[in-house]
Amino acid sequence: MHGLLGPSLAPRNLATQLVWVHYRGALLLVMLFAGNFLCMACPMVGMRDFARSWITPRWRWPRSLRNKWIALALVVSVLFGYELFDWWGDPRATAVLVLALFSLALLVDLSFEGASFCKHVCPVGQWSFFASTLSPLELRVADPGRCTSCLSKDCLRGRRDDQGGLVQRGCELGLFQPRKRGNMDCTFCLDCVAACPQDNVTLTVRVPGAELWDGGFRSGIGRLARRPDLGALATVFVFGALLNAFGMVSPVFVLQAWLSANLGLQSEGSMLGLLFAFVLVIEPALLLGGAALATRRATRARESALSIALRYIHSLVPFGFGVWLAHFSFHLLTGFWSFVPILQRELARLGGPALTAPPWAPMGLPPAMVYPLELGFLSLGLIGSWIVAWQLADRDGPWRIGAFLPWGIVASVLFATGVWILSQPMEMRGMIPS
Amino acid sequence: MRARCVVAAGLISALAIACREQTNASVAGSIDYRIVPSAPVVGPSRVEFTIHDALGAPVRGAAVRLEATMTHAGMAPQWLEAKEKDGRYLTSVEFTMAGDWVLLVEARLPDGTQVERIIDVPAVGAP
Repeated sequence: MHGLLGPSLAPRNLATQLVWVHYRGALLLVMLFAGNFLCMACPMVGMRDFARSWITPRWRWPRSLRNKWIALALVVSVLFGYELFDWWGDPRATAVLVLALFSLALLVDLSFEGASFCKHVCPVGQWSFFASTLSPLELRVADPGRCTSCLSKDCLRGRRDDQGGLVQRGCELGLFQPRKRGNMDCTFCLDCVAACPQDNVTLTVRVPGAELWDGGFRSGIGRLARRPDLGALATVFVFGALLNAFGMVSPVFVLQAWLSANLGLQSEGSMLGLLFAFVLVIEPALLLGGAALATRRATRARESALSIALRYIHSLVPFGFGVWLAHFSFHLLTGFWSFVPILQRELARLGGPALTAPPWAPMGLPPAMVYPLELGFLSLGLIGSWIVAWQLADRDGPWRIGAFLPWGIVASVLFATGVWILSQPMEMRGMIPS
Repeated sequence: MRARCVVAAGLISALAIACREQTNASVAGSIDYRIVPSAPVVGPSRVEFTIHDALGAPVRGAAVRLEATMTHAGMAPQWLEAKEKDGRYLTSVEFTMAGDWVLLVEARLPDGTQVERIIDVPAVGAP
């Protein structure tokens, strides 16, 4: 509401403040220390459940669309729109984006059964799923032996009463608990916990990131390495992290000027399009393709380079998470209290007390204090990627080091790029409010 | 269910009224400015204002405050007061980051009227 009707200046509007500063940073910190609890608390799902008390979905999500390609397109569109239209500096656009997501969620989930929006469409959700692969908590069965005698499969189908009426729904994302592995596609809705008649589904502590080297079959997903859509999403998650951070530092404007002078590009859209194509398509093709070919040669493998790349791309997810965390935690930690003067101003405008002596001065931590934290997050991400790549390379037996090295080098190159980006002076250009 | 809908509608209406931005069109005067250097970079820059009343006459004795902030959320704004000297109002703004800034200037004239101006400072350069 504040985004649509409030001040047009971003630092004075709660929409831009809470979405681009607080929500993004909090989401990742919650992922790091707990799990995908922001999907659990998603207001879009709450609104959808409310609307389903009047409208019952009539269709099942089409089989040909039971993948992540639509979601991938939306993720890239959001990243592109964010850069092109400077959403971080536009409260109206931020509000419209949020409303558009809500509307899309309602449209999809009031038309199709289950959590079709969450599983196949929601751009925030897909991004959260990848981030949650690094979370320390996971929903899984406590005693697998108890599931072998279960015929009703309530965790998936839901629990029904004696008349056949649904008492508690099961997993709407199609994750059958005995065969569920990891947090991919899990929104932590806890329907499985409530549905299981034997209380056999619990929140369990696990090794963060371990699911990234698990090549086994996953309920509702299949094998990670045989999902090109998930491989593409992982690529955008990793390289998009660097791209999003690069868009906020001074060299991006030097690059834009160079593109304009040397290629004759005038519109920001065309320059951004070229940048996106290079960072999200060409650069990954070169780096990942090169690493896959090197691994194939080193291990004398018969599988294709594409197959190798689809297996190892997930080793870069920890690094991608580190970049996102470094970037968003910077904004959260340096601007944590910046919502206070907004509230003060609005209270004063409504005739209420300012609550503190205006103007409220402290905004957050100084950037110089946050910088070492950012490097720390980046480093943890690099180490996590090395560990996952090393574990994946275990499959290649005596050629393990040869299989690991190309991916370890790719992660290191991306790490160096990330450090360089973080060390650049920020230059935040956005919409000048009218 | 009907009661919930009524309550929800009421809450949304109240929020809409509360969140509505007040636009104060300033017709009581005008504010001119000069930034030195004219193409500012990260670091301190001097800002000079001259205040004119509704008839265009220069004003002395006004209380001039400004908020210097960037166009995106989350950055620390600066709240400053300009000191009058020889009919001009002077202050120094520390541009802490490259990018787009905006100065929100409020001048309270001796007769109590308020004059406001939003000044865009685009593309403050990197050091």
